[in-house]
Amino acid sequence: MNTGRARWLVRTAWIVGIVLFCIVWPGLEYPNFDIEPQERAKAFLQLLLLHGSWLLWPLLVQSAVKAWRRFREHRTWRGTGATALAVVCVLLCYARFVEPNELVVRRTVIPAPIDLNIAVVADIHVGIYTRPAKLAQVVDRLNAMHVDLVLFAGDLTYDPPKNLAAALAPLWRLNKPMYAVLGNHDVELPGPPLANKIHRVLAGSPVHFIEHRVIDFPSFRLAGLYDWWSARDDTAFLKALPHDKPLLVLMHQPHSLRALRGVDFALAMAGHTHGGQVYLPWLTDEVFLLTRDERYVGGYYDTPTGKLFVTTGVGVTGVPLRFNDPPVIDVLELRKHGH
Amino acid sequence: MAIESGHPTQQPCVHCGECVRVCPDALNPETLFFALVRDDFASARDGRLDACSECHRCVEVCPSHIPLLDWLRWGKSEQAARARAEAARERYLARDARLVRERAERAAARREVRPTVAAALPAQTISHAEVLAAIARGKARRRGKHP
Repeated sequence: MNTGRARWLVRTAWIVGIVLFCIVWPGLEYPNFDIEPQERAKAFLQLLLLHGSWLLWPLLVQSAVKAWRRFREHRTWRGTGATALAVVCVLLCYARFVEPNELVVRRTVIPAPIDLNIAVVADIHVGIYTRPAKLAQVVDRLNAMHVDLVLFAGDLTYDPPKNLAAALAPLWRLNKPMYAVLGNHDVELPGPPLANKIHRVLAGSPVHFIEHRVIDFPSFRLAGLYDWWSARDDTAFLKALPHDKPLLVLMHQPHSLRALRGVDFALAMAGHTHGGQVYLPWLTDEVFLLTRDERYVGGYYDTPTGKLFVTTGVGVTGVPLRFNDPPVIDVLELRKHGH
Repeated sequence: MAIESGHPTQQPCVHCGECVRVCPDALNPETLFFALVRDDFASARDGRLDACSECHRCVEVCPSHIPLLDWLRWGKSEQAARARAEAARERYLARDARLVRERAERAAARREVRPTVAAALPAQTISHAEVLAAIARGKARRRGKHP
């Protein structure tokens, strides 16, 4: 086969691949999702990113082959360019295909007035990017864990499938109760109006929603807050509680800490940030502080208001990438005599 | 302005009435000219500015070489442009009012289906045992539905 024919074949293969992965596959999946009218273009673009990213693999192979050939021909500049492209492809492939599919369990010891093991999950974002298989993986891992309390800190959905009941069905297999609050994507900020639908679909399931509610355990109390952006909460009900047991607060956004001034709580737990999804040391923290006025990106913080734990979540939004910030189930080991 | 008259020097109107005499459309070019100079489109409309057939005779007879036809043509186009702008403004205001009304209707519909603000309700305190019982009931109900 001569060179001209080979080049023609490669180009045809690229065109066919782009049509299949960027138009046909997203087009076939698009009707399955519940998209707001003004978000249609964005949703299609997200499907295109999700499936089109498979073309990174042939691009990686092609650029590696090209780099090898150029260096052999002693065309150093061309070779360096192709190598740089290959390196970018490797990084993107890792952030798209490797890291989002991991699920790590991270343990954090926190000094507290009680001894308790809590598993905190957040931001599963079932929808275009995160499919129910990931939810099933989280549920299986939680079922295998020995913890006293399982909490879900909001954002169950993101551009959700039309058949929400089927997508959330894995949650019925949980073998322990999971206390949950809704996140901003579950209450139209942004997204379709889902709050009532989620409550209805999961009514009677092991997922128990506790926004603006207090659950009275024998040795502690657990309270949930509405999402900070929905501005529906007034923490007066927390201030009115008696002080005989420690209070744990579950919320979606770390910003809700501002509403907890003057509340006597042992630990507040939040999600929402995803730890930036692409975590670059120092830079991600600075970006969060500048663009969102957010100091608490991920992990445990002893803040002036009280103790706060921010989990970096499971799913992705925006772009389907995670780097240096794998999906995580956080296990908080509350200890009376810390460390 | 001295394009149509073809004469270099335009002089003030002497009110001779020649243009009125020659006008085949029985208009008064002199009063129309002074109305347009004053930007008085109301009296230009009353003087039937639209009826001008642009025959050029008023310019030919004018002893002061006033480019009357330039003025009348400009007046006609300006009048048409103002009428179009007025119609467009009315359409815009009507559309704006409709959008405001529809937004209010949508907001009212949302308020109807939305529950009352939670903060106004007293917070509910339930025990862990009650939650476990509710979950057991839910699971039993689901097993009945999907055996």
